[in-house]
Amino acid sequence: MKYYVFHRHESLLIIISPSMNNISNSGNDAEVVATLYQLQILDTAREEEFDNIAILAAQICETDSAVIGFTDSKRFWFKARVGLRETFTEIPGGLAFCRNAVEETGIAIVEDTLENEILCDNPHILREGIRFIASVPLIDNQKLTIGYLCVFAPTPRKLSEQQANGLKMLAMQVTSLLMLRIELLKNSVDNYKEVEAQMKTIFLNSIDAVVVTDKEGLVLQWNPKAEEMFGWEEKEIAGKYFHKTCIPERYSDSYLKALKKSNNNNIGDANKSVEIKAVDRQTNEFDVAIGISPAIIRSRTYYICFISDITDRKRATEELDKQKEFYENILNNIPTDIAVFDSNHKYLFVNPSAIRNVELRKYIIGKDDFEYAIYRNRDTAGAELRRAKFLEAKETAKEIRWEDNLKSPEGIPFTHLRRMFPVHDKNGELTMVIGYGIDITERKEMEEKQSILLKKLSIQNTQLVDFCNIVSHNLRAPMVNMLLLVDFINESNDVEEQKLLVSEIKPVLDNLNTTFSELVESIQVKEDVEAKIEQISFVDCLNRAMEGLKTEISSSGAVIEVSFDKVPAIMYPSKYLYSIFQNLISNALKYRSPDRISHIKLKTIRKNKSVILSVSDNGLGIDLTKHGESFFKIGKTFHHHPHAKGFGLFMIKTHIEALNGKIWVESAPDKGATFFIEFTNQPLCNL
Amino acid sequence: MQPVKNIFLIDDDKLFVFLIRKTISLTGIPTNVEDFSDGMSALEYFKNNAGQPELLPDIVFLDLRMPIMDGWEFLDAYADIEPKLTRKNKLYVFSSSISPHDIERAKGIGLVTDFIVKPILKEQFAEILQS
Repeated sequence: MKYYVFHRHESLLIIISPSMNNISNSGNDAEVVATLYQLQILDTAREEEFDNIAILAAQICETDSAVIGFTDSKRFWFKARVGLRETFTEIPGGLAFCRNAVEETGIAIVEDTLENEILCDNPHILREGIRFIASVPLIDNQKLTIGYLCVFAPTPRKLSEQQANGLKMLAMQVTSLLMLRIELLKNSVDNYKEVEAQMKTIFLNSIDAVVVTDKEGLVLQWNPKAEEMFGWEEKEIAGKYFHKTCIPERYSDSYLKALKKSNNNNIGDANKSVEIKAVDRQTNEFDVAIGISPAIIRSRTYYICFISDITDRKRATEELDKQKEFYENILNNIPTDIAVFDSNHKYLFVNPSAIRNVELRKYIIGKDDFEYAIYRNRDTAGAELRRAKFLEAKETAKEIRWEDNLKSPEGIPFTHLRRMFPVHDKNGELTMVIGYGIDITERKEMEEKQSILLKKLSIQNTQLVDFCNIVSHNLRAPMVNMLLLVDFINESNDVEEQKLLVSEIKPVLDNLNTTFSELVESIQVKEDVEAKIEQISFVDCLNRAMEGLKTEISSSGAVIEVSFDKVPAIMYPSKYLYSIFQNLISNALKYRSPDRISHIKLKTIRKNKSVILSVSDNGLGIDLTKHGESFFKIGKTFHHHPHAKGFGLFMIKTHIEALNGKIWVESAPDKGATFFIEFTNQPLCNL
Repeated sequence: MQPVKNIFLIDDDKLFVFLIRKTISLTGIPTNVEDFSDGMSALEYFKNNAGQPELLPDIVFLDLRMPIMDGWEFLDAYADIEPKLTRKNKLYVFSSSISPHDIERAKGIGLVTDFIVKPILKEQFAEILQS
């Protein structure tokens, strides 16, 4: 490899001149400056990569100092340097080399500056005591010389061929570094531009209004959406306070509070928005959600506000709330128990009618009846029943109904009609079971009342039929007899026979009269259901009844035995009790056995809330296997007895049943009969 | 000479039985009238004499209202005995009842020829006796 050594007497090697500061393609100063600008290298800090190359250059050339420098129109500025004073950072006026010489050899060498015409009086070279300079140009890919790698020595010397080659290679290394730098810078600029464009697009096209304010709330940036939302153009709003212009006064505190609060959050945290009112240029107020992000750029605080109009959303939410309220109102006020269960019989919902207590209502959600029963200290039998019904509804996929007989905490029984209704999704999977419960206690009571009423009606109907029969028989029969008698009397010519027939009329009439009176009495009893109930002594009442039967008793010689000491009195209409005694005693006397002295025993005992009166005799008795069913029927007689008309028992039975009592008989033929009467609802005390 | 007809009256009303006997005699038809004052005694008679046709009736008049065993009870028990009777008879329920219920019930029983409401005229009686 050849190289040239320049001497002062040879053609100009180094030119330092303000007007000729570049030896590369003449007239390309501007290009060089543009390149350096592009490199963003002038006046920047030292960089290790460049410094290392300078150190290496000094070592290769065995010199004390080296620089990597760039030339603009005014100076030769050192990007890297080694072995120089701190203050020696540039050579004003620049540094230039002969283009041709450098082009040929690629290096310019001044062995002694004092021997060089141009450099010998350069004050900077002299001042620094530089006697030797070797310089290799830094050429970019456009063939422009943009700077030099130089080594300096304080004494004159030479450079070996190897050293010159090493220096040239290092210069190429610097050029590579610079090319790399250009690429990097270019990329970063492109990136920056791209990001900026993206940001701008976001800012301009954001569906939210984006407003940037300073710390005090002065508007700095205002995007088109903000213009649309508030009706102010960017230039109109600039310099105005956002919270004074766009937020109603009564909300400005909330806004400022949100600003303050945003400082406590992490920077860039705009997630937590506040919902307040905003006002547009036409002073229309509307609902907005504002998210605020504080940003600190070059130690100044900015606020970036993202504002969305939530009028529609708010309206939709309000509408939803209204609907929810509507349905909840129905569910909460309906006088029906409603519960919704998941597929495992856990509660999803229960309305206040089902569980009045709000805490309990909250408690039961997600739990089942068993957990609830245990929680409330209740028997789990109810839960078991409901579980069985639930499983039935689940398995059959059909509505299940049943009546639940319950007791209130006060012990009052009530009845609920319960229904479980399974709900399935479109795939047929059970999603939930809706349970209804309706209090049907009243209906149930009505049904029971109706059934009692029906029973009463049916009894009364039977009595009416009986009554019709007795009228037929006991009234019509004597009438028929009378008619026949009268016919015969008319047709008879025999006076004696006529007399006989006439004598038959009297008993028929008497019979008719008695029957008629008794019928009337029995009708009156039926109408007199509300006879006055009073405390009445059994003995007193019996004595009165026996007074009326004095003749019969004395003529029969009957013995009457009384045992009322257990229950001496009852609450009852005295007229009825009188009638009971009168009828039963007269029956016992009527049907006494001709073979023995009549013995009648009367006794009272208590059975819970009832009092039972028994009247026993030792008379003819009745074969109950034959007559049991029709015993107390009206007009029923069991004996060929002249006085057996069958009214008495029918009448007292009517009395007794009218007051919810009972009458029954035990008897055997020729042994006697015992009648029992149960008076219900008799108080335990006071008697 | 007409054959003598056997007639049974089952009725507890003594006066009525007396009057019926008189009415029958006025028809001039030769009859032999027996009366029973309740269903039970009539039933006993049928049981005891089922195999003796000369002692059984041609016509039975049955009252409904009677002590001991009334007409209905009699009809129940009589249904068991009737097939064994060696002489067939006509049976008229003969009552002062005007209850439609009674009339329906009586007509629903196969053994009952007819339901006759008391009183009965001599002419009607003659018709029944001669049929």
